[in-house]
Amino acid sequence: MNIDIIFKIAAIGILVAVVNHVLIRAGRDEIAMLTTLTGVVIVLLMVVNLINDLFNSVRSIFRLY
Amino acid sequence: MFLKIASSVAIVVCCTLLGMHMSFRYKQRIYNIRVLQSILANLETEIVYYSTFLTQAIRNSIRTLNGDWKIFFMEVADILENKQEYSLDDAWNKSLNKIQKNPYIGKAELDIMYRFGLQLGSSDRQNQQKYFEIVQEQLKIEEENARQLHLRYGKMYRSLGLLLGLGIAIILF
Amino acid sequence: MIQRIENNQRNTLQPILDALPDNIRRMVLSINPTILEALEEIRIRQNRPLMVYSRGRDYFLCINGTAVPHYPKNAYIVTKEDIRRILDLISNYSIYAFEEELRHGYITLQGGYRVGISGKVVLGKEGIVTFQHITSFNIRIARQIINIANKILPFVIDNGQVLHTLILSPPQMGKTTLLRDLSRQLSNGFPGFRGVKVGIVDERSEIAGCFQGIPQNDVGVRTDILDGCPKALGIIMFIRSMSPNVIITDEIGKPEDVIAIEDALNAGIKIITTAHSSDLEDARQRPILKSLLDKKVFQRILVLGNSLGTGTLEKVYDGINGQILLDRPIR
Repeated sequence: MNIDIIFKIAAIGILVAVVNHVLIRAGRDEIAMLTTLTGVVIVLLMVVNLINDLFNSVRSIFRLY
Repeated sequence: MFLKIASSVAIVVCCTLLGMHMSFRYKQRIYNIRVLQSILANLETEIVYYSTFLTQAIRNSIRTLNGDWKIFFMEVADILENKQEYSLDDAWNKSLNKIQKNPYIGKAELDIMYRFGLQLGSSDRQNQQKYFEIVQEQLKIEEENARQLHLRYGKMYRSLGLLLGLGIAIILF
Repeated sequence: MIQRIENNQRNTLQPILDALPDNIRRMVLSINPTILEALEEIRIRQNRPLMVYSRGRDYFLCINGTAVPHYPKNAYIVTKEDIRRILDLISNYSIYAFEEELRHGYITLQGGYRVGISGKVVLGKEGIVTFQHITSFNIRIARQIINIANKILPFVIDNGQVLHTLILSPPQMGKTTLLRDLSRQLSNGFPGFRGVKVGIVDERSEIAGCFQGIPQNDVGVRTDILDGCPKALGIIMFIRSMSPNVIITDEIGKPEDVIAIEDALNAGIKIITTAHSSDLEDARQRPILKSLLDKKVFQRILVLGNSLGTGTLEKVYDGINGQILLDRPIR
């Protein structure tokens, strides 16, 4: 298990927040919304493997085959 | 590890420059509109007060100026001077097409100039003066527009560039 | 040799060729050299055949470049596009620069050629404002004839002094050509006569054929030109500031011209001018000319005609005592 990914996700979160802010200031609310969504998707893509691992672990622990 | 950091820095720098470039477009457009206004003011003097022939009038009025519109006017004067087979409209449109893709020139100015080209030179001085007044007015509005856009998006593109670079660097890290 | 003549011809015609669109230029250049050589006019009328006038008659131009005297089937019909192109070319894309000339119905080309214009005019408070539609051009090829004034010089100059001279002539008799050469000779001087300062008041840009104020015809080294200036105003301007010895002007006929001429006489300036009229008797019928003749303003009165061809000098009168100095026509 790598602690880096948490920092990465945090960094992306901050970044997306700033981008969002900048875009809203420039009056492009739709694009701001879009960037937020992209941020969420990117983070999801990053953690999807970890979630998969989690499910697998849970299944193996409780022997739910 | 070193390579990773170096390439991340490179990405960030590139994206920042890209953002700067995008915001520079807005700034340059304002400059170009201003130059266009002074070119047209010179041209108006040449035409309305001195009645210089169009090619010479164009050459005189761009002499001391710079910018992307100068290239356009030089092109027009060149085509007209070589004469033969081009009417003023043709020469004008041909030159307009050439600078159409210039990133520092907005579509609105191109439209204004296109319409102006249809009227340039083809009537007496009083009329010409009227056309010049109209085109100057339109350009003034466009300049104001460009300034607004610059205030709004110029800053945005600059910060967006940096942030995009950081984003890519982080995702790929 | 033939090549050289052709080149020469081309050079003198160049300003006119430049003013024609490609297709018409090609047709004009391919017409018979003998016609081309003596070309006098090119007539261009919208939706009508293209014509040239040469050696006293007119010819239709055909699409294949021949010129025939009778209306042929394949005559070239001038299109609207042609007219537009010609207007662009003769005005250098700058109609505004010819505002004043257009109001008088012509444009002067480089080389002193003039293009007469007609079409639908727009009227304003002060007469013609501009043309709404231009539909006809008459490109006139004026040729400068050096030394044509030689025959009249002995009558115009007496003891090294230029005399007040009036030239009477019907239209198209080479009056302006004569005046042009006279100006050149008086201004440059010739053996037995030292050149004098000449001022030309060229109201219709015909004598000097100015293009942007520069004379396109040789009118002499001591010659100043007021181009496009009304005669009466011009004569007074010259008297005040340019101190000419001789003032040359074309076609007097207005009352204010007479006043200006008298001013010039009082200032000791010699006047050479012309008037439309076939002879002295005819001139006396016209009130303005009559008053000038009665006042015995002119010392010499020259009458031009065509009894021996265009530009014949028919008669010369001494304007003071009415004596006839030349009673048989010379050319």
